[in-house]
Amino acid sequence: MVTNELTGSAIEVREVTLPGIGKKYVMPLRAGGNLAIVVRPDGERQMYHFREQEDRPCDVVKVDKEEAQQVANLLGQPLVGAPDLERLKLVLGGLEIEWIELGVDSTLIGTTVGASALRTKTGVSIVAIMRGEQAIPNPRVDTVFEAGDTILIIGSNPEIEAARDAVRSRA
Amino acid sequence: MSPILEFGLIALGLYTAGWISQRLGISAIVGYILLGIILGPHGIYTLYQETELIELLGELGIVLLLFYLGLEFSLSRFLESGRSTLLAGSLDLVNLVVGVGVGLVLGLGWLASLFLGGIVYISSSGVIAKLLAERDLVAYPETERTLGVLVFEDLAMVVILTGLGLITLGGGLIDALGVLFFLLIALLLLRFGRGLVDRLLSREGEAFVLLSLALVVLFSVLAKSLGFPEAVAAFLFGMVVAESRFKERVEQTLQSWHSVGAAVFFLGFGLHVDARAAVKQLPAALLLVVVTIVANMMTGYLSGRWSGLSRRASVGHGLMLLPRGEFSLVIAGLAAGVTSLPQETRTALSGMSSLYVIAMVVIGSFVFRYFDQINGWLEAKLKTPAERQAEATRQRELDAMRLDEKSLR
Repeated sequence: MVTNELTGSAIEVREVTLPGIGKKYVMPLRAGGNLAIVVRPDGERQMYHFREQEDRPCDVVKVDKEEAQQVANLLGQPLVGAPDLERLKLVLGGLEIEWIELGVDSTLIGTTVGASALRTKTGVSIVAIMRGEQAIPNPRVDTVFEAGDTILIIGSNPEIEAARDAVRSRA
Repeated sequence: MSPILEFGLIALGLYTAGWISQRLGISAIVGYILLGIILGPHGIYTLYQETELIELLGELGIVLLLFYLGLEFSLSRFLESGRSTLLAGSLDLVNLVVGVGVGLVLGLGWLASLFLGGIVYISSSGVIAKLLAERDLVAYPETERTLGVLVFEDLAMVVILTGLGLITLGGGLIDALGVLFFLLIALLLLRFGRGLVDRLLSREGEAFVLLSLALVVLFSVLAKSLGFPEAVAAFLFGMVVAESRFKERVEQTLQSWHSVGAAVFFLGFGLHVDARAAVKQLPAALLLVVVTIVANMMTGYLSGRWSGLSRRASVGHGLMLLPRGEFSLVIAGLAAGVTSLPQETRTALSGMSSLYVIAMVVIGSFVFRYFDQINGWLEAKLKTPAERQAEATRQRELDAMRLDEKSLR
């Protein structure tokens, strides 16, 4: 059993590995019946609808990776656990907002926002720092980065890439 | 015929056989075996012979078939698979016993009967996974159970192959020492091989292909020279590579070698089947088919019911496990090379197993194509008289209501 970690949803989803086929997620529907989603290794997703009391699906919708992304967008939530979507990205007219998690060995750990000179070096602005449950919006220059922080930055694509390099581990 | 021309003709022949099978909606395995039978030394026209090239590619095929199986096999997942899968897998072993029994009834003797048991027991995970995906059956509740049982069968097959290999390869103290020595190497590799493989395989381009091929093949050959079955060694090496970070890359890079090798192996198996001799084995093959269907359906149904699947899903579980294929042929191929078996027995065994596998692949494709219909029909047969009566009463009531409505109008 897994619960949706991202949204903290209380709806339980059963996850099953199907060797040689992929992964299956089964979610009970409040209106009755089940929704089963099968993720194939090539990125294809299949959505099966099971009516109440039925153990055979009454319908299936198959979408490729790109279509699946679009369906997810339409449903109003990014695909959870999709390998190509580890980075949640928002494109706003050339500007991007990006979440970067600081690893234990990131160069930023222990330095302050000011001393890191992230904006001078890369051009991105730090919008907020997410620390556990807590969010630090518009962090002050003397805020110290800690391991496990996720920084929310805004900038152009090359600036974001530069920032990604800058916060990477020392090795 | 020059080897290069032979190679071209093999590729062309296999392509054509695969294309025709696909058109007929059956697995390409059938086409490959039939190609070997029809155009082999006992066939209508001898285009293919049991040459060194075919032997080489076929052996590579077996090694890679088992290597890929090992790549996908996860011991931890197997151990986590839960009680119901373990129960289903154990009950499924009845099919092995039944196969051995049929062999003894047919008078094949103990050793050949053990081989026959393996041939009858092992379902084709390749054929089944492909059919499940093609027929949109992957989300059915019994699919999970079926795939779990297939993993169990894979492990059981490795044990069977090891046992049969050790019985037939040798005996004697020196051989036993060799096997122990190999097992020691294998254990060390399984425990510590991950880092070694990670370091060895960090190469690019053709260097990667060449080195991974060399490692897989030479490891298997080493095992063989120490008196250990090479197919099992390939499986073990697959498990080692599965732990490394190059698992997916190895899988992708060796894919075409794997497909070509396996196809040539099936062709090569067909080559030493004499169609005229095989026809004599038709009753035996028929018996095997009937026994497999009955035993397989019964064990599948019972294990499904015991573990709480619905009656429909339990019947479905039995149906899904029916196809036999590549691994039955691997065991049959191994049997064909056992010199301690009388020539007569070997001919009989390869004749009946080729017919058997062809029949089971065709039956399997048919069952999957009409899965819901066959499933429903069998489920209806299983209804108790009381249930049938209740249903008939309900139907009569419905009819009566409809009649009332009509008369009211």
